[in-house]
Amino acid sequence: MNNVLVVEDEEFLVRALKDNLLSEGYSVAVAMDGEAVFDELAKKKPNLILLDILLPKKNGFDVLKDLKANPEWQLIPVIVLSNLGEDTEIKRALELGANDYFVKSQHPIQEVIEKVREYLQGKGVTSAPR
Amino acid sequence: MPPKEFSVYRSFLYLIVGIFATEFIIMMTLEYLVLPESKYVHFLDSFFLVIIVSPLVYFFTIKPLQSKIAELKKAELAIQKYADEIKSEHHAIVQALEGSAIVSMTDEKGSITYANQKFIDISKYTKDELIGQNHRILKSGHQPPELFDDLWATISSGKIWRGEIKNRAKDGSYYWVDATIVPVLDQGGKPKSYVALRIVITERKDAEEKIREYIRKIEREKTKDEALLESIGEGMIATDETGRITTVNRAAEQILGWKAEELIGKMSYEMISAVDENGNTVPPEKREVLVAMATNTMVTMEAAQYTRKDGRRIPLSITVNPVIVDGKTIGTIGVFRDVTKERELEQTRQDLLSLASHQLRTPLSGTKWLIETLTKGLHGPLTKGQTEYLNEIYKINERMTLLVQDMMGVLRMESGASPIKKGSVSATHLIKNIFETLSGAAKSKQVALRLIESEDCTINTDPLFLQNILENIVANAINYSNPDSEAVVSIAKEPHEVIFTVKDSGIGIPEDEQRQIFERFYRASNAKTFDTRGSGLGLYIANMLASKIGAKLSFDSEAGKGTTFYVRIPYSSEEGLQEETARV
Repeated sequence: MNNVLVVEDEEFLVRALKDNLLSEGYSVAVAMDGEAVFDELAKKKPNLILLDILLPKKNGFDVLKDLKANPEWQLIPVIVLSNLGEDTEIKRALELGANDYFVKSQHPIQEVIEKVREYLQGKGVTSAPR
Repeated sequence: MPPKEFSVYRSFLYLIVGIFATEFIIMMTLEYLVLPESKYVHFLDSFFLVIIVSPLVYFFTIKPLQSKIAELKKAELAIQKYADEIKSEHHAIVQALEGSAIVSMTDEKGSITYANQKFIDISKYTKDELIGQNHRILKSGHQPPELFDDLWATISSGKIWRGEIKNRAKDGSYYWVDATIVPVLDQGGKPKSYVALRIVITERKDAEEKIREYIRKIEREKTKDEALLESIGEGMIATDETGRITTVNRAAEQILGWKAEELIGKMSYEMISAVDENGNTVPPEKREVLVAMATNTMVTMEAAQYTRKDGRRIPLSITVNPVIVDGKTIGTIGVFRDVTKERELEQTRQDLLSLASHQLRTPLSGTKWLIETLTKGLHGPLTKGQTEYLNEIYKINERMTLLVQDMMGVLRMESGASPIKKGSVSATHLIKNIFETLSGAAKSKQVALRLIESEDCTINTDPLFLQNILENIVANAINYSNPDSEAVVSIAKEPHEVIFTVKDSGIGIPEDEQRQIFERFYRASNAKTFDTRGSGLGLYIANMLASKIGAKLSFDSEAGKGTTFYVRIPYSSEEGLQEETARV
């Protein structure tokens, strides 16, 4: 069974993501700040990470850097879910190694779920604006 | 004939001696030869005396006298001729003087004995009023008495005096003269009369005074200008026609850290290096002064960083104007200011906007996803009514999301200080990007996006701005089209511009509302009913962005038939370049 790690500090967004992912049949782990991510990673290696950027303790960019620097985690696909929509930020995330970027308020959650499915099937193609 | 100088006394002496000698010889001869007692002796004596003496008298007296008289006559003629020549020369001289100079003569006490016509005309006195008077009557009172003391001392000692005198005419008006006063000396070397030549120089004196006044005025203006220059807060550097720095004001010294002396005479790029936003050194020919002179237009540069004397790099906003006099560029004037604080402020503002944007979006995305989760039935089945309500709430939320997006867009754009970033962008590449970004929306609305194949072209502008404009227009084409229709984009290469055409067969814009379509928050009546979500800011933003990069938006539309939008953009949008140049 595929395991998805959700990194998000807003309760209601965690709730929505979790409900949808579980209904797809994935198991879901949750980290609500930038440091808890690594606790969860230590517990169980996920098949995919949904990563927010504005997080307490450590922001998503730094988490991304650490993920990609570690050989154990660098191959896990990362989809950034953030409400920061500036092109500079999108570009930065992609350059740091994120596989995709969604501005939450601009996409139905179904799109996110479908993209998760694609990546978990190994067919993921970036749809983030270049 | 007589080789010696003719002397009456000598001739007379010779004559007396000759007569006596002749008489003696005759008497002797007569006594000896002829009968001494003959009564003819006296007659013969007289006869021979006359015969012999006559030629003597003639040769020794009359002839020399004659030639002397002839000589004298000749001399007299020559003298007469000479006198005539002198007279006519004199006449000419007097004429010349009459016209140009005041001529006067005085006796040894200084009383006027002669005054020429010019003297009379200029002084406005009559001849009678002048003769016998001293030149003192012409004193203006505007010159120190020492001048006249010196004058009299000089000429009374027999020396020539030369100087400028201000005189007062009879009517109270003043005139200036350049005077030369020459004493005429008697045999003892003392002045017995004076001759004076005075050239009227009033006009020249007036002109001199005017020039002095003008120079004083210019000096005053110069001082004022310098003070002004020193006091303005912006740095100012002026160059000559070769681009060498000629003036540096105090603000410039403070901003750049260099002293004026260190910069004057050098080219700006020699002392102050500049790097562009990518960190590459700006080459001399791309530097502000040389570009302004090469293009003969005003140049504004905002994106470079300049190195101070202490090595620190600062962002400057520079405007350079060529200075043109009589059609020739004689130099440039550049004005600049340190925009570090401005940039920081702008950065802070943008960060704030970004954060605000994020904070507004987060709850909206929350509501969006939660509603979606419910509608999906993940928490149990819903009644028809519940689903309908949730759908409505969803739509309202979407409207809110769009509004936030657009308002953030407006705020970001209206900050005004955001510098335009220049870059080359391929037109087809741009459209393809936009199609990809909007593919989701196009799919859900069942509108096909098509780009008509055409030759690609490169545009020099802010790629982000242009993309935003086109994305807005294509998004509108998708949004306001009916399902199973097409939005077609074509690119046309004109001589001076590129024209993007976006054509849809959607709801179109009613004619009476077309004028307002670019207004803030304006939504056409048919648009509002067709799609409740729009904010009315899309075209407003597109238009504002267009004006920033020199692009123009226009459209043709008919309600119910569709709309064709045109985006015209020059191949190169030069930021800050204007038609006007500084004209002196």
